[in-house]
Amino acid sequence: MNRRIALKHVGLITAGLVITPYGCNIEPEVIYSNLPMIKKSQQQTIGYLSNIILPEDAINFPTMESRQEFILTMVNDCYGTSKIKRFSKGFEMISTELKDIEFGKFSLNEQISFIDKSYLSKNPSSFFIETLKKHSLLHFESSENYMIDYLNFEFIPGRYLGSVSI
Amino acid sequence: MIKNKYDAIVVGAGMSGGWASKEFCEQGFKTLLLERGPNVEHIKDYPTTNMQPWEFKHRGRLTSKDMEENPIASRCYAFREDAKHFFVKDKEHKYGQIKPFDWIRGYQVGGKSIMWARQVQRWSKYDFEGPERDGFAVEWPINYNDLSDWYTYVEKFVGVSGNKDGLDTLPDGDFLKPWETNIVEEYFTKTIKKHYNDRHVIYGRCAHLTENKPIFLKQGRGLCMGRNICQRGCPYGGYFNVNSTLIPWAIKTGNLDLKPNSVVHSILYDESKQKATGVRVIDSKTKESKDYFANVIFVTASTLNTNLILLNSKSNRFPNGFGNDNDLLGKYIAFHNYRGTISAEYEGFPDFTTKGRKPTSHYIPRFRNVHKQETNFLRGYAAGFGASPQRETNRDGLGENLKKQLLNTRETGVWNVGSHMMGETIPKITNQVTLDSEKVDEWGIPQLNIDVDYDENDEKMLKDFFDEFTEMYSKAGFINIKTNDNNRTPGNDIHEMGGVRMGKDPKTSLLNRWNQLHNCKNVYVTDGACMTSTSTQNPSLTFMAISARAANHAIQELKKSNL
Repeated sequence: MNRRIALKHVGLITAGLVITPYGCNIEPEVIYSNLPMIKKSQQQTIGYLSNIILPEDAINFPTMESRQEFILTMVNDCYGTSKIKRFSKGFEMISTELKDIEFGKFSLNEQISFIDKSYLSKNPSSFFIETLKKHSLLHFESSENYMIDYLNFEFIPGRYLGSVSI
Repeated sequence: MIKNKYDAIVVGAGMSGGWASKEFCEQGFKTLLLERGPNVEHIKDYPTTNMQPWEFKHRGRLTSKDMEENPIASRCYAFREDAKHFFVKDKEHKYGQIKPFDWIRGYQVGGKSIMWARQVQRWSKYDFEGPERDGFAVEWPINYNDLSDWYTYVEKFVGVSGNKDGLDTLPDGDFLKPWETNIVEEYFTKTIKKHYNDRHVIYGRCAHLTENKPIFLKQGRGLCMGRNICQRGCPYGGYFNVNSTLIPWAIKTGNLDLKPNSVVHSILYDESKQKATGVRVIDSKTKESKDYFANVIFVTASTLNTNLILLNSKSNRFPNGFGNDNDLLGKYIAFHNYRGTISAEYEGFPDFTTKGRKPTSHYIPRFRNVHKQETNFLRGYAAGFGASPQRETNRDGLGENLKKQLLNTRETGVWNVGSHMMGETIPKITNQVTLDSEKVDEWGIPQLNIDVDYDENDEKMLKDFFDEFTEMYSKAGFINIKTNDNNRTPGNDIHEMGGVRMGKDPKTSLLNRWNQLHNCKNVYVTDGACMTSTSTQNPSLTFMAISARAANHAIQELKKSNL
């Protein structure tokens, strides 16, 4: 009896595997567990907007992860429930607005102006933009080249000089 | 031959236990060192030590899960992404808070010595004489002269960078050369000297190697590289921790048996012999119970855990806890008042900056009520002093403009300066720890309840710190002076002390001048639990000196078969 049930399960699993590639995308829709409303296809909006807020420069300031990944990781892992709620609401609001206005056809200045307006508004999109900016700055300012070339960071300084002329 | 028998058992592999173990092993005594947490081997078990800031997934920040699960531990300045693995998590080892108390712990071989702040100052005679002169607690059974040689002994092994300042309030030690003083620290030092006879700004003595010496080479340690990420463990052994020094030193003798994951349940007492015979240990993983035996037992499990073990060691002879004939065990807990901070700016050296990093700042030894009572509060406070160049980055705007601004980050020529107070609190009978009558942990050991709080003396002292430092900062021409009461919960200073205090009279204290329990001479307590009062200095150096002194006393007694 048990053997028969086991064989039935094997049959079902095999059939499922054969059908799945044609029936659905096996890549999970939700990558960030605390941000289930931001589907994979929508995540690039985050990257797109953050790149307008602070242009990425992967050649001069390479980083371990993309800006989009960093922002989503920080929000997903470091924000509490209420902040995640505000962020998600802001994302929803901005996404709706972007759909209506064909944002991609805007000039760069117009795009910046739109983001600035959202940032200064008193609705949830302000918190969303503020979060993107905050983490875009952190991502950029903690990049290896920025820390070394602009903040004079040394991992192993091996000395301390107490009065150096600027 | 008795199974599991040693010459000495040391409970707890932190600084105090590390020193006791080293002394016993070095002098040929078979020693069992028990640690409730896992082993942490120098270098091998420092997983983040060589990670660059940009390699951390959250750039050093805690996740919301970390914060939610660890409201207590996450209030500690060093509990961050790079070192949180060395801290006890809140849910793992619960305790009762009769009043709010942040019990910050490091359960592993090396204890908190891996993540400590590495500031080391000797006590002076004024510190030991405090309780007697001011009529609180009980008289210390030792004074500075009893400890000064042991301070030197410890400093030579540990490596302490410092200046010989010639102050009787903070005796000099056996120092390695200091790191360079910066231009504002130097200026503030001179300014305070000009305005006050009794106040001194000195280099903050720290347990970092700034010179190579044979003793350090023998330990396998190198110079401090000024990385200032010590809390991760240092691959160079540039700062002192137990893992890079005392443990390997003791292991090399062949006399150390180090047993991690061993939770000490209680001390065993033999009524016929009228002494302790050993300890009962529970394996933290298998929960298996086992007894170990020795001629002498050092209880150095960290202040509050030492109290817990003694309170839980009940017998016909000691129904209220080991050595607790006077019912004072667990009482007179004290700590350091770290609530006050002050910050300001200084525009005096606009053309100068610093380069590199150093692992310390400056220090202002206690100046209140040193020679006589002169304020409306008892005792006093020490303080730190730091100065660092300010950097300005314009983060306004968006797009390419914002990026350009980030690339134009610059030093402004203005310096940020700041101090934090380190105040002595008064040991009181009402500040105490007790065992919960119902709740037990997963090893069947009663939960510790902590009932410790500030009092009016602390509030007055805090106000005085604000007043005096505002005056000192004003005299130095600092601007934008801001004082802040951070309302830090007791315990967050990580300097809890007492509960098994030393004293001359068995009626009013638990330990004698050699740190032996008055009522059971082969049990020694040498960690923070033994402290009669707290003074203002960072306490670790004193714990280590007391431990080395007591261990050598025990060794002499063992040799004479007195234990």
